[in-house]
Amino acid sequence: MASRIIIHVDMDAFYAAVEQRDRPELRGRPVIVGGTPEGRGVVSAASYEAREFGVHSAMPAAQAVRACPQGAFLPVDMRKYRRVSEEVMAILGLHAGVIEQVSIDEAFLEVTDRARDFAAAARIARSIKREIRGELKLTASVGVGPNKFLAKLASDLEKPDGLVVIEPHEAEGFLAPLPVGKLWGVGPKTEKRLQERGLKTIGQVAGTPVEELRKLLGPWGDVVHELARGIDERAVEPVREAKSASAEQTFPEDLDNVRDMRKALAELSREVAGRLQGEGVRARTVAIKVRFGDFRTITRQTTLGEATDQAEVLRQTAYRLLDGVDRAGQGIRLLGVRGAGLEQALAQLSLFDEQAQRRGQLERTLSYIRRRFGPEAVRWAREGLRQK
Amino acid sequence: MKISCNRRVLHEALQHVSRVVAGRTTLPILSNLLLEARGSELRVVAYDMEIGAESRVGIETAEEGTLTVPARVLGDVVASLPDATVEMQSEQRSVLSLSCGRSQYTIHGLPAEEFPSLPEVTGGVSFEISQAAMRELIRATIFAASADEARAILTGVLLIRDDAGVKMVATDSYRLAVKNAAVDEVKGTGDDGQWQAIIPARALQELNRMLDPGDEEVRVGVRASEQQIVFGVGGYTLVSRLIEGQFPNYERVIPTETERTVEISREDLLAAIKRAAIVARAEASKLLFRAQEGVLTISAESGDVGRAHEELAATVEGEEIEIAFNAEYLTDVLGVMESDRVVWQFTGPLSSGLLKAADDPDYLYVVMPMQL
Repeated sequence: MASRIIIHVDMDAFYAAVEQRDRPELRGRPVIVGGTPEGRGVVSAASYEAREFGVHSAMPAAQAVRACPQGAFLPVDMRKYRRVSEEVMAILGLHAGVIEQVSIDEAFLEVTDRARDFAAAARIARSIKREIRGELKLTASVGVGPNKFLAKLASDLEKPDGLVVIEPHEAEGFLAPLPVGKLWGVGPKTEKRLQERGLKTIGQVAGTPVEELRKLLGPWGDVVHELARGIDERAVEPVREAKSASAEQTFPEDLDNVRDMRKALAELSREVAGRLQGEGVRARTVAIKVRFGDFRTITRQTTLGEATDQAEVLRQTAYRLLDGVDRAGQGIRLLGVRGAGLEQALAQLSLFDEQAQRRGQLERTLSYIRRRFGPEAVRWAREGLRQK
Repeated sequence: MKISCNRRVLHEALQHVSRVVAGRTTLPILSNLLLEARGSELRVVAYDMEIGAESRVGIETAEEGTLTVPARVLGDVVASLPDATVEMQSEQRSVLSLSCGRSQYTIHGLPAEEFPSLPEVTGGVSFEISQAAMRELIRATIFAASADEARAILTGVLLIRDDAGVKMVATDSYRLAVKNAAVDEVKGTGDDGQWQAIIPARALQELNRMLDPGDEEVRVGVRASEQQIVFGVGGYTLVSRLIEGQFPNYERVIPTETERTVEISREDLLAAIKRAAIVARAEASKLLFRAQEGVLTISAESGDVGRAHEELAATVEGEEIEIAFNAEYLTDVLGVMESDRVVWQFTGPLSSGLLKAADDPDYLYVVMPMQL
């Protein structure tokens, strides 16, 4: 049977690259999106220039400021990234019948029906890169492989602006020397367990009897064994709606006072709200995740009366959920906030939405000022900028 | 039970109550109608445990009695009988035998004892209102109630009775309709001061079907307890459970001062919105309104469909404004209003718009815009 051919496209340092594209003064400079120069917040994306200083996404901004004080710290502009993402996906749509968008800056393309062989698929991959660069002035790393796992691995190998093809007969050779952490779904926990058994490379896992892996990892052992041998039958499934939006943070030191926990939840709520707004959805369910110092992890969730994309609502709800958690004096190692039960946010404004009311209030105040002091008395900052 | 009655009268009575009959239910008897012959009156009752309806018609009674029969079967049979005298008789406790001319039917039912009795509504507040005023209250507000069962309170219509008269308020949180009935239409015999209750919109819809606005003789009697409300008009009674909970503070969202006013022909506006909405269907019915001196333009754009552009003569006061609304939220209310001209007031593109009929101070409609 002829092999499947799948392409994985991953935009390079997406948020940061979009900002650098739109603001020439940032080009060549370390750009850090998410987090403020005062060290508040969490890094959402770092340009390659910033990565050289050791800055990476999910890093607390305070740490990023210390690592790279000369960096340009920018707020997350989800709406803009979302728009650019749509443009990227539109280009990809021209090259494959079936596309699975995995995240805002990443997608799988099923090209088995369009590429006779891997050379033809590589040509498609080059066209994609050329079009993204030409039309959007951005770069992507592209991987071509006989399945999703290998395609994704390939796109990661020569980032940024990479193009790597892994053909079926090369799979084993590629995989064997890689650390087990490169296997899909193998996180630090599993990695540690495998390493404790002396399984450090993917090749070693592939050579281990599946029964042993099953004993070690449960049913997941089967999957790991297959992946290690380059086998991955999962289909490229057309875009599905996002089911949740979440953010979590592991703390350098366990938190043991409520004020710090609340601060972290507020931060995470803002991040989740930004994602929801970027996707144009609202969450009806809010959940928090709490990992204690001893790695015991629990989640608590609640359903809201009205779906929200507001950081304030998420924050209040997260506080309430945290209050219901019996910490038994334990420190907290990780906190997460998640919005699920997503519904399409209507561009329709709500009468009883506090924020809408505040916007309305603001408009009324502005118009009062203008009436009293003239039309030029007060202007939106964005209008001022536009006129300059 | 053994009775005879006019086919048309019986048909009407069945129609009046049959929409209340429970569709899917775990209690089979709720799919039935209760028939009860007492003296010279037949009671036909439907009850789905939330809303109950009762219709009373005059009959000739040879033998009093009661039983229940499936609403669909009896309703469909009676609907298709010729206009003549219908004879009905119970055989055993749960079989109805029906004859009309040369047609003869037996219908299997259930004994009446199992049929839940309608809740008694005693005490509480009571008042009377003309059928025309009640109809206006319902018609002007009910469409703004929410259809979202997850937001139970908003699926109801708030009824307020105070010294000033009677008021109905409905909102689905995107728009709000408030209608007052003039005080001389109301005869209160209940408590002093304000009283309010949230009535399921479905119950008011049923009541509305029963009202004859031309009938100035028969008034609607309203009585409410803590949990139930009952409406009586002529030989018809409707009982409904009230919705528990706190209705949103609607007064807070009614704009008190506005910056710009557009006065315009209601029919022209309605027609233009309906046309432009054809293009906007794929875009969540979003229409863009621009009010300039003397002109209101309406436009819609859909990538797949095309564009719409409408210009209407209007009296515009205040600065130019551009604001977007969901077409459906406007066609609903413009269809209900009856005046020639409407007054539409705005503050800003993110603030609610206030819509009034030019000659009706008792009706107001607030609608939130869509983001531009």
